[in-house]
Amino acid sequence: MSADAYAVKATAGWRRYLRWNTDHKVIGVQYLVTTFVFFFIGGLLAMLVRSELARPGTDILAGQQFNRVVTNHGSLMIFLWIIPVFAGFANFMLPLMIGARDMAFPRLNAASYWTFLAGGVVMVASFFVGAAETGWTAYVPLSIRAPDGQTVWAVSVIIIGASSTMGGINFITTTLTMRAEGMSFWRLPLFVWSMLATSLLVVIATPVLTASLILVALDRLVGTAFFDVAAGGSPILFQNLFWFYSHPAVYIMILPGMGIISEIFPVFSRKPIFGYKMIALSSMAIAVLGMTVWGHHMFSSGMDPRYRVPYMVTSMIIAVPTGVKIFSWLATIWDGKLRFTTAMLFALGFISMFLIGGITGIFLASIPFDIHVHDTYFVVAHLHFVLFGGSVSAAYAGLYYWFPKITGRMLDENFGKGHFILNFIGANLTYLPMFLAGALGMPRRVADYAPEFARLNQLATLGAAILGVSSVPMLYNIVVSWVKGPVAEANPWQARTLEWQTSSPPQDQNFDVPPVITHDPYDYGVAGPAADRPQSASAAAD
Amino acid sequence: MRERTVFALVIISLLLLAAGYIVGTQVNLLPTPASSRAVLVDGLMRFLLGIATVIFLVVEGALLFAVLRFRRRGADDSQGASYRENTTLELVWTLVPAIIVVIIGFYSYRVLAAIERPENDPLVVEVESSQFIWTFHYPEQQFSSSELHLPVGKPVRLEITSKDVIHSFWVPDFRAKRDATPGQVSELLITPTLVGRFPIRCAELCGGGHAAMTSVVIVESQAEFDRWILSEAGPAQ
Amino acid sequence: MEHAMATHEDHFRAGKLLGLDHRKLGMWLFIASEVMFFGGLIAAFLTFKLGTPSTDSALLNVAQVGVNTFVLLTSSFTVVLALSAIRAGDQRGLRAFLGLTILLGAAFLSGQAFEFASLYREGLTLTSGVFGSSFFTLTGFHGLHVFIGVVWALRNLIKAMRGGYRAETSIGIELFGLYWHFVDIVWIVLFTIIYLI
Repeated sequence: MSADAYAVKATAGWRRYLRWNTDHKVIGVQYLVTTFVFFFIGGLLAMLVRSELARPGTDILAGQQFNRVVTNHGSLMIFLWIIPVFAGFANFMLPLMIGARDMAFPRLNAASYWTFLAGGVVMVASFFVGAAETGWTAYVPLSIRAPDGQTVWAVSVIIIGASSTMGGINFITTTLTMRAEGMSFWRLPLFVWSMLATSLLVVIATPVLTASLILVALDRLVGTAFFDVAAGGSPILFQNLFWFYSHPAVYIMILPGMGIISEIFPVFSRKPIFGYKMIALSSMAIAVLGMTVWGHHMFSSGMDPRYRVPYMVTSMIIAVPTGVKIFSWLATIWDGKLRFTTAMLFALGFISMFLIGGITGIFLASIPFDIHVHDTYFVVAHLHFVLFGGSVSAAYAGLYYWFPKITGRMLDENFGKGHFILNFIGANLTYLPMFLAGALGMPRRVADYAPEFARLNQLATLGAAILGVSSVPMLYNIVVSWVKGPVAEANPWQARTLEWQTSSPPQDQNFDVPPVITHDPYDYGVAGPAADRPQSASAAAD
Repeated sequence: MRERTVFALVIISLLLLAAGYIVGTQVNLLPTPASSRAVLVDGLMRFLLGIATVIFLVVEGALLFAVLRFRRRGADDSQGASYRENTTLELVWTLVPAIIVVIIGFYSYRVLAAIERPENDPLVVEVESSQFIWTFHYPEQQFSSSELHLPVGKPVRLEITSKDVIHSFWVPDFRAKRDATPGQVSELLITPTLVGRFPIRCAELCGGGHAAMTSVVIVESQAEFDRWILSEAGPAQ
Repeated sequence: MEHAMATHEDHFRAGKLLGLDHRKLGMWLFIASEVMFFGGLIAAFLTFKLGTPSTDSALLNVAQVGVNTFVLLTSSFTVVLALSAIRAGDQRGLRAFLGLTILLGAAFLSGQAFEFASLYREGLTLTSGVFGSSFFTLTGFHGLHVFIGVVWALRNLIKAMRGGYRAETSIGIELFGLYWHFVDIVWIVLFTIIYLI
């Protein structure tokens, strides 16, 4: 391939983000902006849910409508926000972090974004033809009988899955074949390790979801018998195929976030990451183990009881590599010189909230307890602690950390801290009461509930309102800072990974010459002048 | 390690274990257990809660301590410590959680075996669900009802199925739940231990009426149960 | 100071894993994802084969499909020959073996179409029950993959006729070969679990 193929048209300005562009930095921004838009739509849907649930009785959304809002809230957040936002960060940062000028397959990269956007448009379009209404889990036979929008929804998920797989292939190939000289595996930043583990899951698990939804679409459109009980079809088959992907999916949703946290703590503690190898290997262990636990979503399904116990075992074992990470992070900040930038605050909030999510995951792995709380608000609380308290906090941390590198501007730290405080209070207030509601008897996906749950629901709705408000300082900050925030220097955080050895934003093709790596990524804690040793002595910032 | 540190660690550990024990034994978050399995499940839950309390306090405590104690003072631009590993510590925080989950796993398995153990000569009730009602068939007594009556203290085997989409039969007070799947019959074993009326809720999204798909299980004395059977099924019993 | 602009290849020379070309690695990963896709469909087929026994499978003509299988496996052989031809600089050999591959692939597809038609006549259809649904979906998606492979081979053949391949730039044929062998191996699995067991 000639160098021309990689010559990015130097049209600066915002218009290049609206067109096909193979530069990974442009694609990264395209993903980030698009996913944040879907995040806000999903958030509005959540506000609708919490408004309806503020009081018992049907206020604004009746049964079927409520089911549609709940379904699309979940679907948007999972498929159009949390999975692809990390693909966005990875797109921008991964080549920079390994000393490459772009991804291994730049055109495939661009294709993955536009496929993602198309899938997102189709999913939103499904709202308007009679939206999907089965919960994002789309269990059969309900999803076979649901109105037309369900098919459109299923097609959109297949399209988005294709985009995700394209990205996964690209990230793995890039990491394995485009590392600069000296960038051995044990010098890779932990975000890169986490993306490697994540991408392996994406490539292996996503196609099974595609298969399951194709079977649903075939039953709906041409009358095949896969899930037609009268003809011998099997609803349990759908659950197995669906969860074979959708459980690894939750690790796809959390591992990159953990990678970001691993980047942030050393920088803002001025200490090396503790237990680098164990953190890297734990990501791979979680990925592998994560493929063996899916049956824990089916403990009450009437599945053969003998098969339940192995899933309990694997689901509990996965706590061990997870714990290794948490303890390593604690040991990283211990004896550090902590700077409470907004990114650092969100990283600390991540540990505190993810811990609750993780602990309650062990509760859910215990079959007898799970039988009681499966499909109740206990699970809703658990999943929001890990996904909102965990993954979203990490996405916010990544935003505040990398915004200067991506845009060349600094975000305002005061608005950032306001965002953090409102977010932390709001999240805990929203989701903590849900544990109790579920254990006391409130099922999930209900538009109405018994009066005994009113108080807990009011608290949760209040928390959700605070969360809604918390998005205001964030949004304002992003927009205003991007347009006229203070200009960012190359390395405002004095970090050592390679992306900070480029200008903010990085120049075309990132590096004048491929850098030679001479240090590990977290070489802090070493006394010396302010000119910290970067990972590459030869990479020159613009 | 210094004596003072060891001493402090011992005291803190004892306090943590005490906190865990107190939370595990005193905190009463769930409604009164109304079945034999509920008693066992609640015991398991308290155990989990006690362990969770200890872990929570350790991690959040360490986090809070670190945030307060190691924050940068003023414009201190110096580096933090430089250590990157500590094999003993890493072994401890790998093995201790592993041991904890093994214990939890064993305890859970024992509870599971106990609550799913088939009893001799249970009362069999067929639970049939459809959008959005529960119907209960008493095969031995040969009648159907929209009410579920059960005699207290007697083992019951519910045979649960659906006529249309997947529902889920859940009695929170029994801590018992099983999906109602069309095309298959799923068993649920319960021995109610308290007389009373307990809500039945559907726990699998089944359409617009999912939230309203509720019923009630009436647990009564054997005599009252027999009277109810008689009134429903007629005198040929 | 002037820095020479690094070529794209420079970036690939550093840090390779086992000397594996990035395009081959990409193809292997794509094949892995496709294996998982077929895995899902195979799981569905086996669920019904083992859980819902039906007499429908008696309608299958193992001998006929066995011949078709032989045809497809032969096409894997011709692909290998095509690749070694171009690696030796043999343009005619490349074209000949690519052409043979296309013919054999097309023959396989025709054989399948013929089989599908006769099964339909006998009442085994996509909607006739769980066996029909899972049989036609599984073999149908495989056939789709063969079809895509035939189109790809045709495109390669046209490129070869224009002299588009040399011994050093034959990676396109190698990538196609990887895909084609994968499609064949999937067929071996399918033939075994659908027709033989």
